[in-house]
Amino acid sequence: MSGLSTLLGISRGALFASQASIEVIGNNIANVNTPGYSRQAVQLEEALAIDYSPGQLGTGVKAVQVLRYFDEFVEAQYVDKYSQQTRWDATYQNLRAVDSLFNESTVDGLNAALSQYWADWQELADHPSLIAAREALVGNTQNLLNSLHTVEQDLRNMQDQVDDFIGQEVEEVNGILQQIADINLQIQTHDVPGQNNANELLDRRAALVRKLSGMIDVDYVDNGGGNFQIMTKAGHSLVDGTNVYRLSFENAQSFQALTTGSGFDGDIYFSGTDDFEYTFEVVSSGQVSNAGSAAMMRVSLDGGKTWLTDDDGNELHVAARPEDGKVTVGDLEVWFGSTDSMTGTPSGDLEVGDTFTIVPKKGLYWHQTTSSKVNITPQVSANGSDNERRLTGGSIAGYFQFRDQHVGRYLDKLDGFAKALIWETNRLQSQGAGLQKFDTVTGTYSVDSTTAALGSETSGLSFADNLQDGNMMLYFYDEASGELASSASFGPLDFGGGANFDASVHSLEDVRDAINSTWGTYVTADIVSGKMRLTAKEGYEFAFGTDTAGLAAALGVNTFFEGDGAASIEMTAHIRSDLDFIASGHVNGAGEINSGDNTAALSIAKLKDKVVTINVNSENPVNQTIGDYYNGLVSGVGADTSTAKFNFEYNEALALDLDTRQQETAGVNLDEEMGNLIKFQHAYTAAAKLVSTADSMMQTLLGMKN
Amino acid sequence: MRISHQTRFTYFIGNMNNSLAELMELNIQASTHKRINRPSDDPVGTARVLGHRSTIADLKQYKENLSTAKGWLGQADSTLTQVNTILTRIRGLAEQAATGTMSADNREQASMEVRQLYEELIVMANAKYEDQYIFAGHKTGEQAFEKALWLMDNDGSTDGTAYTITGDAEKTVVLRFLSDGVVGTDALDYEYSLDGGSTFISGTVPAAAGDQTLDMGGVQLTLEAGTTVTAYDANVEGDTDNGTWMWIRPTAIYKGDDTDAISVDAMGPSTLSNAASGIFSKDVTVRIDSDTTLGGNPVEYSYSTDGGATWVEGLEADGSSSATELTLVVPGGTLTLYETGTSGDALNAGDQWIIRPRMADVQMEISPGENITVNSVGKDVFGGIYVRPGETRAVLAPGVPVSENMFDTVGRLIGFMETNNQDGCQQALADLTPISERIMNNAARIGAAENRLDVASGVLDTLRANEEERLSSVEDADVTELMTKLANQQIIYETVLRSSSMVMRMSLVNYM
Repeated sequence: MSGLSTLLGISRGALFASQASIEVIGNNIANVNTPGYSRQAVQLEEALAIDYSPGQLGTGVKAVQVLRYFDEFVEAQYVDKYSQQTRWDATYQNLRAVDSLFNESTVDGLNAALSQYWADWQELADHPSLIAAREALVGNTQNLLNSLHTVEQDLRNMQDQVDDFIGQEVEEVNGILQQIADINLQIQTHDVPGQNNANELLDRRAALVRKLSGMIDVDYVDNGGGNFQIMTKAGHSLVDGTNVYRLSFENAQSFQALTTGSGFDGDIYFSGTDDFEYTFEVVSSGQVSNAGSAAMMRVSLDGGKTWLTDDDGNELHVAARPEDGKVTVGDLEVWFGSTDSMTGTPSGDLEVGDTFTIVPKKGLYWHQTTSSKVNITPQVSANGSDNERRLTGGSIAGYFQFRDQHVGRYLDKLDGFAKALIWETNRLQSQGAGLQKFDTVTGTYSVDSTTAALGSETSGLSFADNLQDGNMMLYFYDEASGELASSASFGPLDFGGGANFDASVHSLEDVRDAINSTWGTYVTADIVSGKMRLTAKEGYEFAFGTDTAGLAAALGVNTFFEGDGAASIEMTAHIRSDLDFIASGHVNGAGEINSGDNTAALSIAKLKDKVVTINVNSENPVNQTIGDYYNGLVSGVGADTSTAKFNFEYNEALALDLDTRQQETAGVNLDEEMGNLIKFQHAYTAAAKLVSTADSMMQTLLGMKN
Repeated sequence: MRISHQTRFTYFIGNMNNSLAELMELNIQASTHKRINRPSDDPVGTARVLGHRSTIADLKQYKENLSTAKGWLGQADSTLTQVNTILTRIRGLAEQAATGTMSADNREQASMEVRQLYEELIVMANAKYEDQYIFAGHKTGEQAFEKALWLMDNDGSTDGTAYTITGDAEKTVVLRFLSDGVVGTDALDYEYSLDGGSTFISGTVPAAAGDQTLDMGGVQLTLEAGTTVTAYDANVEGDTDNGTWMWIRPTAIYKGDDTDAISVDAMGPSTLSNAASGIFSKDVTVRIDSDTTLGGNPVEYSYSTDGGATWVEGLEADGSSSATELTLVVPGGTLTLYETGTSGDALNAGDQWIIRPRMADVQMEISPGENITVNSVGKDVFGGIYVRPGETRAVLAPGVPVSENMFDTVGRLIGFMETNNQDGCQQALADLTPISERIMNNAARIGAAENRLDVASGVLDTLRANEEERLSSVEDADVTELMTKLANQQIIYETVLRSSSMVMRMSLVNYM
């Protein structure tokens, strides 16, 4: 039944549709700058027509639903690229600070201090008996050490700071995951596709996913109606509908993965920290013991892609030892204990293929349940490729990359630099003689075990690897006359039957005994808290000579530096307290130490051009001068920074492009909205006119009655 | 393409930022005049910059070393020139003293001048640079020479015997024996003169066993047992073929060190005897790398010149030249290992020997790897007497021919002049010529070293200029290019600002 009321009905519907459209346009205009807002529009449909005369007559317009313009396909690509952008952004922004730290373009830094150090040895060679030359050497060396310590400390501070960032962001990730789950629940309640679209909730969720992808790399699947799953790229589920999983940033820990046939019952223990994960894989089965039959393992710092090598380039194998035979590997001391006690004895044999992983740093873990967790700390192999089973994107991955792959490596190389400087200087210094002879001297390097062979990995000596087979010359002088105590009061040590020192056999106690048995008339050797101490007998003094074993340098007697890394390097106390102990000369063929002798100073000065082998954990051994090695480090920092910058800018451009494409669909264009506004305003005016027309028609009709 | 409102502004801001960042980067380069302002600007360039800077610092230090070396050598050079002038004056006086026309008084007056010149020579030999004695070997902190007394005789009776002289005398002491006999066996009468032979005081050596000391005014002479003397005949004039005469006259004793000997010390159980020969400039360590025996067997060995820090490995000696001896070639000379008595002939891997030369050369590095010796071993230049390390008695400077021993010859001249001995003066005169030659040879050696310094200095200057140019080419910004870029970038930035502000203002609203 059609009629005027139908016309009123049509106009009412038209008024409502236009009004709804204008409201949505208003909302669009209001949200023109709201991040995450997607443009909306009212979907208009023709209302049902009625069969009538002269035929079907339309009944007006129907506002069906409010549509949201959003390109899911582009969004998925964007989220992917955004993770890369933020990863490189985090890396780049932090590396810029390192770039400045190593910057010497306008101010003097380590490179200049190192040049000065070599120059000072030359200066000492020019004036071996001039105290001023010694003072300059010590003063400038202190500058060098201060620079080294500052750089080292600043790098460590950056790592700590980044740890804070990671901790905060992990908390934020967990918060976002909870919010997403909450939104999923709301969507389940409110969303009726095609009628009542939960556009605002979907916008909010999309914005949260974007934010999440800025911190970690994610994949997601939307099955509609709040059945939305989000997981890491590596596949660890984060939100499944309304279920939430958790990430955590935890302290150092270790894991084991035994082969099915392995009967091993125990655990790996460690002390020390490092920026790399250590993977131990058993290569020959056996027990945990201090004997030769112990199981042997190879070691990897990149999850098993490459294996560590020794100085000769062979694969490094370490033995599985109990607590009293701790093995030094890289920066860690490692041993095996029982499951509940680090000093206990594990049972069963280790079998080939049993793997132990030590994460000696704070790492990121995904919790499947409260009891089981998975290590998802980003890991980069030696060739630079990401471990795909870990986190690979987002700012958290960027922070980890910065902390471990960049700063961790710089610290490692800085330690390598410091070690080379210490060892090479000490190696020559310890064979020289200063203006004064020794009454007593205590070594600066201590051993863990006084009975373990000094060259073995269980001795705990910092420079155990550098020891060689050979011997050292000692010279004994009459304190009063300053002359050799007798024509035979000098020579090498006797390790029994005239034997030389053997690094793989002789322990610190053997060295002590050799000194006492060979030169007991003039000197007493004893061990004080793992360090060698020599004390001259009444009326005698001593000096050190040629040392083919490197014993004096490794034990830290008659040395210039002490410590074994960038943080611990210092000048030895006896050099700082008495400049006369700086060895500029040597004991010559007549057993004399002369004030004009500059041979030791000259040979140390020449170290600047000496090519040395520097072996650090994070890369293969390199042969370079100490100075070039440092310059290489600076250059590496520059290259890393510029690579990070490139990757950041590249991914930023890609992400921006994808964001623009999303904006093409979802963004609000004011001109367009203004056009639409006028369009619907006109429609509204016309609809209103329709009402008044219907009204006047009705009046006309009613007027007929009178 | 739909352009959303947000997109427009994202682009405006992005574009403005990008061109402003470019402008700032150029501005930094303009203000530092450097192309590389942080390592990431050019990582490889940064390493090169640091490398060049280290090299420049090294070159600066080499110049420092060179200047110090120049000081030492210049001091030595001028000292030797002065020594030669003094020697010329001494020769003039010696020529007068050697003629028969000179009276005893004149000879005595001349002798006084020679004694002054002798003291002047000692001052010369104790020349210092920066408070370091330059003729004392490595013992730069102690005087190179001190005044001392030495003995000469007319008949060779003290040749090959060991004697010592203590005490001091202002003038040459003449000693002659009044009886024949052997020291340590016979009682010997003697007489000595403290005034050049005018008056004599007599004394007696007892017939006791052992070395005997003759006390003569402030001087004590200890003669070795077995020294045979003959009595002089008072009726015969002079000392020619007339008994045993001795003159105790001045010389100088060298207190520095020498380069005369090489010690070898064995490390390890090997009992083989050893000897090294050659000129070693530093300690050399030798290591045997294969188990074998002497006699025809090839031996693998290594050596190290830095105390075992680095080894030169894989050397082989063909031991076939001798059944009991093996000679290993190392830098500076050879090490010979040989079989003696019960030493056996085994060589074991790991056996080591250290060749330890006595060293006296003060060396300075004047360009990479190039050392120059700046000091001298005084006794090898000026002679005198010397107590070798480990010994107690002085001997005439070893390694210097007696006729070229300056202090000994001048001392002899003084001895003869003060005792009015014309023949002796003649003999000493003859030796003054080779002495001058020796001094001049040394001056020439030092002059040559100075020339080397000049050459090295020139090379260093060139190297440094090169390095600085290379550093500049890597590090510095090309100003012309930079200014062009800067102007260009300015135009770009202004264009971006202009176009952005133009587009930004546009909106449909403006027309409604």
